[in-house]
Amino acid sequence: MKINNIKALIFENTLVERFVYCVLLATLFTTGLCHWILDVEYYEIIDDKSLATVNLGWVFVVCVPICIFYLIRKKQIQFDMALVILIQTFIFVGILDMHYERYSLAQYAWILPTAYIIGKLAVGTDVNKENTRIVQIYSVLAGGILITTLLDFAMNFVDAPTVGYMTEGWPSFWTRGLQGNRCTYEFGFVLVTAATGYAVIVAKKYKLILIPTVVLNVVIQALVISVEGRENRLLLPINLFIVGVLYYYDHRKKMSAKMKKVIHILVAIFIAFIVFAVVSFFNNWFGLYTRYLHSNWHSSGGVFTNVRFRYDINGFKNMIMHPVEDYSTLYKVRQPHSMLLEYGRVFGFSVWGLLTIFRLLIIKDMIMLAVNKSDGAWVKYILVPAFISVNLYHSMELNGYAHRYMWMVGLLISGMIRGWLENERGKK
Amino acid sequence: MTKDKVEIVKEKCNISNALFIIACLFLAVYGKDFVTFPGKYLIGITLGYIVAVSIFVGKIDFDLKLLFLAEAFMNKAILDLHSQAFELVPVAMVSPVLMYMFGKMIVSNKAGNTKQISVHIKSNVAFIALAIGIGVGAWKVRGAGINPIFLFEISFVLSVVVAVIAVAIDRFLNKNDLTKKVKKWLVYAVVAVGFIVFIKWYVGDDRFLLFKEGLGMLINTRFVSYEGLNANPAFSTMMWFDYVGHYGQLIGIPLLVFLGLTIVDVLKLARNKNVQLFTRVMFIMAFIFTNAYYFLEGVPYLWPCFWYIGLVVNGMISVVAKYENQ
Repeated sequence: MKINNIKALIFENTLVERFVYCVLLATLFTTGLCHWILDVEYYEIIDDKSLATVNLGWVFVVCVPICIFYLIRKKQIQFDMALVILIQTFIFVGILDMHYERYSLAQYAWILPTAYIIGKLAVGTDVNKENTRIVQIYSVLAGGILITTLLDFAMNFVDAPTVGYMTEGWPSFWTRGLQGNRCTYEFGFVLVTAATGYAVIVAKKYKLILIPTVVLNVVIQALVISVEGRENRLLLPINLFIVGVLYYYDHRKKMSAKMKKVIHILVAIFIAFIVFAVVSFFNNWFGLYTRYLHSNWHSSGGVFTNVRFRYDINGFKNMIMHPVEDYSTLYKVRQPHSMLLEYGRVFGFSVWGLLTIFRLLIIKDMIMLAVNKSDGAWVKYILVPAFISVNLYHSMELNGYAHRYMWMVGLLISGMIRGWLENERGKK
Repeated sequence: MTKDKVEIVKEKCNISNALFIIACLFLAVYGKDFVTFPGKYLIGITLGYIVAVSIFVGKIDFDLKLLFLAEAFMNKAILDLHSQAFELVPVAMVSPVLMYMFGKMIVSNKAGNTKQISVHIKSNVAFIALAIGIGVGAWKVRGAGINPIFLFEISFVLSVVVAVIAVAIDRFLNKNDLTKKVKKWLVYAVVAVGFIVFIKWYVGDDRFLLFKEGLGMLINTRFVSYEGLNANPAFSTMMWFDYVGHYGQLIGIPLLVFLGLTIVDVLKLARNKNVQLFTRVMFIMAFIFTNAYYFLEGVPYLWPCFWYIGLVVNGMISVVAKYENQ
């Protein structure tokens, strides 16, 4: 048998490709399901070391042959500046980790770019099927993390009738005894909240998506309100608003004149209501401002005047003053509460600068997807809100640095956006 | 139709040739006191020259060596930054890459363009300008005695002299039919004898023990902690092993790959019959002398300005090795 025949048999066969795709989906699901014990630092924390035998490095040893398989199928590599910057930055981070002698954390230097690469390659080259594949990968990813978070919240409600809900931190399901923070637990719900707009839009065609999504959203809001978390409560209206804007932008030409008049009147009423609400809030009509001050919306500083912003600005100033030292341990300054600023605190100003450039490039990719008006662009209703939600979350929370694998979700979504755009470019 | 000499000279009066002559003058001036030349001016002048010439050269061929060199030095820069050795970071990060590209840009021409000076003349003139500059610098310190730095500076003039002798011997041997066939075996014999003499001297010298220790460090030193970075700077007497032992494998191995690829380039040049014998012998002798100095001395690690001259020569070799008659 010639080499070309063997190559065609392995790489062009649809059965083999379906098997590899199922392996990828299973890996994503189980990684999301067990992500607490797959953390590479879990091995060092627990006493009984025989419980932690598999960590994320092993999971990605499985993913690298999948990447090579899809790369050979794709047959060409397009130059991607964001990927070059990501890989070079994580080589820097890995070098510095090894020199600080934190050897177990150095694996993240190759795990995090692999998440981006898998997102780019698993979308495939077939333009007719890429959208369904994106939805499948997204739902598998969201499902795994969702189940873990529901189990974690169940641990809170075990003692609730007698003690009441714990609102700052409680032990998680897998790592019994180790406290997790409420904001870290909320990350599992972000992807489901982001998919609400998409479920509403495609409800006519795929009825089965709408009902579970709405039910889950109601459950999520109930759980989150009872532990006084604010992130999902804020993200739901933001996501619906974004999807509404995108839908209007897409379908503006096809709407009839009467429909447009109705929408314009509705938007005018909505804006007038918002202005009235804001003015009455700040002047304390109906006692709104006092009720806000006494509720849990105001904890740790409120919504727009949160203490997080003060810590972030302070952290940024200190990072410029001490570009190569860890100012938090040396000068007793409070840590910043944002993922990129935490990377900047530990690894220096240059790493923060490079990661910011990377972020601007992936935001540019998202905007290119959002303004695309071709036939297959309906996938933007699920990817763009997810991208915005995850990145807003990481700007407000520092667990993107403390548990570094949490950024892999955002990188996978950015990789999928980039893969879709590369297929668009190849279509021409 | 043969052109008049005056017409040829008039045709060659344009900006790219003027830039070339300015670069040769800069090389002569730089060679005179390259040890004390400030780093910032070097970066500014080479960067400006590269940007200006790239308009006239057009597309540059993909060069794998440049990637390895750039990657090694970017990784070295982040380590220097975090071990608080701030003076090393900006100059040492970009100077090797810039000097290598400077060497490439001096010699390269746009394909099919007759208005530019030919590659042969460019390479000869540039190298002789460099040799004159360094020779004048060496003449000024001739009273200090024969030490390795003096020998390094003399070697550039020496390579020009050896090239002239080689061309003379070649013309002498070509007169007789018999000696023409002997030419090839003569070259092999000289190379083999020189190699054996060098190995015998090296094994008996003290430097060989440090070479073996350096090889052990290459295999064992994966990553060096911060105490090691600020400890005694030059371990071995070989520049490449100093980089390995001081920073670890991640930075040393791309540099060694770069060294191997330059040797491949020199072998390609030796086999390229389209290039004149004078140019070939001159560049090969310069490569051998400079790399012998980097192999035997630890000074180029502490003062990288000695390595930058070798990088300019490497850059010129990498373009001339691919020369084909048009």
